[in-house]
Amino acid sequence: MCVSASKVMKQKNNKFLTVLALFALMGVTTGCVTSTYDDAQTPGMTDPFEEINRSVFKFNTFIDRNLINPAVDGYRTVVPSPARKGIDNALNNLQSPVHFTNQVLQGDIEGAGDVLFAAIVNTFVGFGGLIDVAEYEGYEHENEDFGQTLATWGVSHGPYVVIPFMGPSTVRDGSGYFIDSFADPLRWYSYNIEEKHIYYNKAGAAYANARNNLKDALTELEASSIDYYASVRSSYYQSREAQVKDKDSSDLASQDTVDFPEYDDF
Amino acid sequence: MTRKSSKTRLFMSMAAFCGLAYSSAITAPSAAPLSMSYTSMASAQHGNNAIIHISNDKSDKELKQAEAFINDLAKTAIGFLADEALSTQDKEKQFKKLLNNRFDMRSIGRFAMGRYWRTASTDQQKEYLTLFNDMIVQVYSRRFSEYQGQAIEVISSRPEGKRDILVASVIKQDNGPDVRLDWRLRTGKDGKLKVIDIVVEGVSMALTQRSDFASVIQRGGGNVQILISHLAQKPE
Repeated sequence: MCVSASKVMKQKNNKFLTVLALFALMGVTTGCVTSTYDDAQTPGMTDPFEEINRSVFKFNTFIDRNLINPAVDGYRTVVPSPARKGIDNALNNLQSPVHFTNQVLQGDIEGAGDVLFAAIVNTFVGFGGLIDVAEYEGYEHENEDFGQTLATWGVSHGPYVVIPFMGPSTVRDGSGYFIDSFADPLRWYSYNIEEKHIYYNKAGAAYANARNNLKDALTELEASSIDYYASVRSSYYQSREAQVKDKDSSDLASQDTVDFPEYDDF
Repeated sequence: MTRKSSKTRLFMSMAAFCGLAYSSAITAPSAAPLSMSYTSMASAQHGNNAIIHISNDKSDKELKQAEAFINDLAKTAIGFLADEALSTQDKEKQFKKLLNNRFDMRSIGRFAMGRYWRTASTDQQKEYLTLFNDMIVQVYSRRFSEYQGQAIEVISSRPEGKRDILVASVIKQDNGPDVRLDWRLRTGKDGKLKVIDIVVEGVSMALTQRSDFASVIQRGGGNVQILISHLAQKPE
């Protein structure tokens, strides 16, 4: 992987691509330096900052219990479920430009077409994206972020990082997220007209929505694990791997799950 | 500009950027908007997955049987889970029966312990498997108790690994995205199909559990007994 990244650098002298290659290298080098894989961890995963991560994780869990989860419960009481679905759709629709850009960068032109189609249809027929009309037509809108794009370019996860309030991430995905925020036209727009709060409001809504979508899964995972930290870490890696490998979601038969190793010794 | 100098510059800016991106990823939720990681986790709900294909020699007939097995499993489970005449205890009893008949508990338990299985004594292995069985009943009943009669639709199946079959299914929800559910099946020693793993949106329960257990053992100094006492303590 290190070799392929330096090749990428040699080939491209275009300024833009160089910057991209930098990103690739960044992830790759961090990934190369720290390879502490063992059985406790999902293949490909490294957690050199485990002790710091665990403290942040503890903090996040405390915040979740005392702040986030009660807030989500409140949200669910006040906003009925069809409306929540509508909000989820609308936020997803707003994120379309970022998804589209990443589909293109990943070379998935068909996927990019689907996003574009879904965004147009949902914006104009689905009341600004509140109704996911395109989904009924079989156009699934895939959430592609720059972390995934980096992954398709061969960048490995890099070290695992737990970020306060944000939860699990990796160096690759964290950097990817940072880049994505610059690719959001709503950000350009709201910064241009000097109404940054528009963008922050959207980001806040996206956060609330994500926490609402995740709450049940996380509660259950916590209840069913002994070492909740290790379970979340493993789930995060697996779920990111799955998102990266979603290339052909229409052909379900070709899809795979995690590699479940063989054991014939019993 | 010579190649060397441009390379050096590249390296320097790379190093600078590395630090920048890294620290901003960690420390600047106010500059970078909220929702990074939780959003990317939540968006797994919309994604699916595809990996390597190692085919084994499962016939179409065997694949069809595996699909029928999952359909039947779902039907049986809905049958008693939705039966309002049954008490919670009755349901749990039924569920335990279903698990022991249709799930290969030994394989699942053996896998979850990973490489530590070999370091455990025969007695420890036995004790572990009993405790593990109880825990799995809890875990899976919780999973299934959330399940409120939404339709499970078997989509497809294919050979998986050296001797398994993977059956893909989808839970259709009225007010949320579809949930992808994959079942890994293996033919047991008695010649019957058994479930050995459930994969929810790309996250394998078996793998997650193994990560959990291995971490417990490692942090406990590599002693399997630590895990066993945790399992014994586990409330409920």
